[in-house]
Amino acid sequence: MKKIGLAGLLAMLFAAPAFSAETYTFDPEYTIPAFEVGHLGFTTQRGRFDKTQGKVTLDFAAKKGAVEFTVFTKSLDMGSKAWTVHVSSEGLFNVEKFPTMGYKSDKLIFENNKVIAAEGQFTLLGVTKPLKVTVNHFACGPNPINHKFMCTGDITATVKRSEFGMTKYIPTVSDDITINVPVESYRD
Amino acid sequence: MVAWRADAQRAFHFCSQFGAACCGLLAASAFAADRYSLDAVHSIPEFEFKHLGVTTQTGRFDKARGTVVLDRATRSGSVTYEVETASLNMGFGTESPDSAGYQLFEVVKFPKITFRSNNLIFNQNSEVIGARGRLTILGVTKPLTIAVNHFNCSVNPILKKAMCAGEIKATIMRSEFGMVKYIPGISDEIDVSVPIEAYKD
Repeated sequence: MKKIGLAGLLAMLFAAPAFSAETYTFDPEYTIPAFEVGHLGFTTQRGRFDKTQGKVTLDFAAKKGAVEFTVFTKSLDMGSKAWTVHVSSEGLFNVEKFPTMGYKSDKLIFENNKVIAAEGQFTLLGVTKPLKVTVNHFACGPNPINHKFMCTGDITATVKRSEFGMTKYIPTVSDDITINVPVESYRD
Repeated sequence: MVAWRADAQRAFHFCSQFGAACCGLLAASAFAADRYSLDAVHSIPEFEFKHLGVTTQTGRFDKARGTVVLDRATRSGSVTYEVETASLNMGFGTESPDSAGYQLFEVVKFPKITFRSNNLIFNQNSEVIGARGRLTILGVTKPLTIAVNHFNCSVNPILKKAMCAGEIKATIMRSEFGMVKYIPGISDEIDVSVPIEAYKD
């Protein structure tokens, strides 16, 4: 294996972001993840996490980017208090033991000047698995109201919760979970 | 009418094979209208709108109630559904009279959004596939046809109670109800989704 000098490595790290990569911070009020789960085989029930934080780095010239997204699981909001407490409990999101879940990717997939997907790692209940997410409606431009430059998109993904050890109530509550996350992020 | 007759003939055929006791049961369920009350925890209405023309944002009302009357034999029924506007929950934390959501829905002046229909739409299998009714928002009432997907009546396997369920979808233009503030930053078109789980009274 070829040795890379420390000076050279630092130069490489700084070179990319200094010239073309830009970092964007998610606006948590408009980046609220929701999930859909089948209930009893009858209906699609929805839940939501109200607190998140995230950053995305975009380099349009090199068509590269990275994203890091954290969801604070104690912000789970199912619409009724009793149900929220139930879904937060051990066997489901177990929020006391696992206060965060998250997604990391350093492989954003571009089509022309648009991000259309990301390949990364999803962590739920402390278990990390590869996950590819789809990015719909990707757009960048100044927010017409506050005039700040932003990039946005609607993220969708499907996971099998059993792969992360969340097996309680399958199949009454479906194994497949659909995730929808609108993302609005502002350039730092 | 023809389809109803076919149902009745099938019921008759079934009864002639299995005897009068069974026939009495069938006749009772075939002619009575059943009343179902919505399970409020699993019937929470959501709406989607476009924000700044780009992202799809979701809002929710956490308190809603309703009843459905179903007579599958005659393919008729009705529904009343009432949403408490003060239960608006956008995920930003507690809504207040100053928040944009409360102002848009004029929560103090209009504490309820209602949908009423006495014109449920059935398919050949006597499953509900839609409803023609009237939606009231901000005190303005307009006709609205909603779609009912995945209609299913069965027994809740855990509670052992008879239930009917379905997924309601509708699209409305909020401007038709006089809710014009923030268009187009917050889209005029609103997609409504309501899962319904209702238990027989």
